[in-house]
Amino acid sequence: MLFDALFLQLGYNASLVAIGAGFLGIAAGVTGTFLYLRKQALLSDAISHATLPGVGLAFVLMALVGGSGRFLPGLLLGAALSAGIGLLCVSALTRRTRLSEDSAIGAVLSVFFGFGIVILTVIQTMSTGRQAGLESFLLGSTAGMLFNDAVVIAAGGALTLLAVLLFRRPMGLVAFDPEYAAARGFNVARIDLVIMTLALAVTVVGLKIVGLILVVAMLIIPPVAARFWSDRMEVVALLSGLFGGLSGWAGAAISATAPALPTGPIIVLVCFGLFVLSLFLAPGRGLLAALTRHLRFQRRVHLRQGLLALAQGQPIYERLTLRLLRRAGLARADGVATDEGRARAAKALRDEKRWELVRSDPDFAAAALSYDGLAGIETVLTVDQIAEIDNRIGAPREVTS
Amino acid sequence: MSLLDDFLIRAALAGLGVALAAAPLGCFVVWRRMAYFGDATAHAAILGVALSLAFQTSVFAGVLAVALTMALTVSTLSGRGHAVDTLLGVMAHSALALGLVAVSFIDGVRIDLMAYLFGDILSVSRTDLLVIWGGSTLVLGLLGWRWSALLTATLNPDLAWSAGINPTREQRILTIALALVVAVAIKVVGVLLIAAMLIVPAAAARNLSTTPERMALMAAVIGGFSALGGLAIAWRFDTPAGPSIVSLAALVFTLTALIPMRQNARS
Repeated sequence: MLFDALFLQLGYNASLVAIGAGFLGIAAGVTGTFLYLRKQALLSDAISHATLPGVGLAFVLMALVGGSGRFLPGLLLGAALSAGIGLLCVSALTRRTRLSEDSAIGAVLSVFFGFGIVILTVIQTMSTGRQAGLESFLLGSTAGMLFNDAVVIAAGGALTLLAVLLFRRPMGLVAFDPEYAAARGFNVARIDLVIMTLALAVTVVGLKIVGLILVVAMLIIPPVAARFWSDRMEVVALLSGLFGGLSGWAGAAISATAPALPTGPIIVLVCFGLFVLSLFLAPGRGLLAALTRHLRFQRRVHLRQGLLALAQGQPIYERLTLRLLRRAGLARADGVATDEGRARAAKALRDEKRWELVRSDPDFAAAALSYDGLAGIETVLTVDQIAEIDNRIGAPREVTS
Repeated sequence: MSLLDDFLIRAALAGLGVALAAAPLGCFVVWRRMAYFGDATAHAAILGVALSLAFQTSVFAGVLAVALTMALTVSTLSGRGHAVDTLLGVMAHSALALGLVAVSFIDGVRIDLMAYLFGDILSVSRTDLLVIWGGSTLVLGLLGWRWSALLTATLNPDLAWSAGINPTREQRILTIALALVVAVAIKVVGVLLIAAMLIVPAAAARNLSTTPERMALMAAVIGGFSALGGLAIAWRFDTPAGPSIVSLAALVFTLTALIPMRQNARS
């Protein structure tokens, strides 16, 4: 059943929805990257919540005119309008009052949302317009979706994706370095507006599938997950799109297998799964990588300190050090050095002496700066430099009386 | 106790209790820019609802547990160089999604869920009332007890250190208070509108006040007024109570935002 759904074998509508959700996810992931880099991810939260009154009012309007209130393009248009008004409110509040941006966003999103709920309740008491199913905008639903709706969503997702691809260069530039972008002749404010508009488009298209409470997660989570894998913006944007697309498609497919499964939350959960995977497994920034890095560093410190202790004939009490030395074949179980251990220890001690000189001599200031306490002296200094140091220290000599 | 037999009286008392505790706390939320924090904790609370419905325990306990876990996780993680707001976004929405999916596996709670998302103040029972006022008193007591320390820590962490106050501890106290308010308010305004109960009265009061104490007081007054007025509106026009309360608070905010233009011009 699940595989049927994943490979689009579960009926025409379900397939269309899965494809649409995939497009939407890619568009959301890529747009979200720019939002994330511009540090405006949470503005999209305000956008999504602010769509609700628009949906409600559009429904009322269309019902009053006499049509079916559930005409999807009309509802989406209303949603886009009221989200736009919400954005204007946020920027006006931030500029005109003493409220900080986060309070402004919080106030706008909750107030618009509350107002939207009031309108929805009013609609429930209306006698016309076939209001059933309007709540599905809150949590998203693919069950019982009409063919036309699915087409609108698939087309909307594809269009948004196309727009993102068109604007990716200037958006990337602005996200990275607004001043440089301005110097290059880009209008930063206008490009910010483009980013916001794209976020709005993603939100509005995603309303029906993901639901307005969770659609913003599609904008926030993929870039955060993708950021773990790379430091290059193009790669992050691509990966983020991939994560978004994957979760949209898989989430829609999974929820199509059982009518009780809510689509939006499933999509977001798939997304979250990708985030957790990235959090642990990503090389470089992932937790697992950080842990191995830490352990390797610990091992090197212990080995070096152990060798120095061996060279100076001091007893070693630290169990970990002993174990590491023994495993490397440098010491016996009772803490006495093997032949190789003695050789390595002598070298460690001599290197330590060399470093002492390097640190005290201003001639080697540059080299001393690059020393982290563990790197072998040969990797930092040239052969000539080492020879000069040894010259000053003096080579080991016979004791003469 | 015949007075409490009337569900409208119970609703009014419940709304008042939540508003009184949420408003002063909301001042800190506004001052310390913790708006996302409140919002995210509230979103995660739905996971608590789902869990307590699944295990048939008290909703209050479930929500409190999840809200506390969420809040403490975020404050721990945020110290380690992760961007707090994106982290909050990820955690909150994932918890919400998890909660919603979990609920969908439990039979027969469809209606219940809506009540927790948007609040169901008119069905507040006497026990709920007890919990609400107990929680609110606790929050108010906590805030009153630590008031000056909290204020100093908010104003300037360095100053707080030198005065022998640990800002991290004060932050944690606020976090706990926030989790308490979320757990208490869930019955009244629902998960999705708790942020409004916190922020909007405080934001409105900010326009009218010159000292922190007066702002907290004004916020409580505005919050209480919105709660009672919103209930009256809901009663008269048959609108849902929680959103009506928030809409009224927003109206008050809009009105107060118009006043200080004059004051600012004078000063």
